[in-house]
Amino acid sequence: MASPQYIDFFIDPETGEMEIKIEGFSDAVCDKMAAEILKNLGMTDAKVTKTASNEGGDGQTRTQSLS
Amino acid sequence: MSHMVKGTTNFSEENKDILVEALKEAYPGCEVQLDTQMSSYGRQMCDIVVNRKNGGQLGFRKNSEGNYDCHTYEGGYGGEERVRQALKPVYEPYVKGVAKDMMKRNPNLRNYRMGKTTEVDRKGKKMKRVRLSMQGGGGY
Repeated sequence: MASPQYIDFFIDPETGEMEIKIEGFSDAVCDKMAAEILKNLGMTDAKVTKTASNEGGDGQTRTQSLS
Repeated sequence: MSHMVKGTTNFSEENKDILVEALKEAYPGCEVQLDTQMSSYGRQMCDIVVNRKNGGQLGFRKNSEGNYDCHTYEGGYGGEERVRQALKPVYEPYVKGVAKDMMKRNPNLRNYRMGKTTEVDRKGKKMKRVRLSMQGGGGY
């Protein structure tokens, strides 16, 4: 069963801090989407965390952090 | 795969129109002027000036990074705190405006829709959640 695809924007209304969760897209689309969101919201101090690739069919997961 | 992005929202020059609309939504009945002087705060020239019905004037000036800095002057005390308070209602409509713009321009989001804003608890912090999900499913 395909995992759900969605983008969640979590906004802290007190400070303007944001968390954005991009879920269920292919690796390439997910990377592009994250880059686009960073640019559009001017998030110069952003930390990006990648979790669990669902591509390749080996059942393995990987994580990668960019900051 | 999933990505988690954390950071602080900046009002980008490229989203000037979205910011203006967000300001109008945040401060009902306000007057927004472009490329004009503030009436206070040293009469600085600003890219955007907002005359709020309640709460005085806000000015937005573009900085060297292409983002807008917000300025206000009310009595000369608590400048940063006043700016922080003043911007609280702006973030949600601004982020929604940016997300809507993305949905228009990004072919991967062509069949997506924006859900209603909900309040959620994130690690003990009250946050507002705006979800983009595929029409007819794809979310939960």
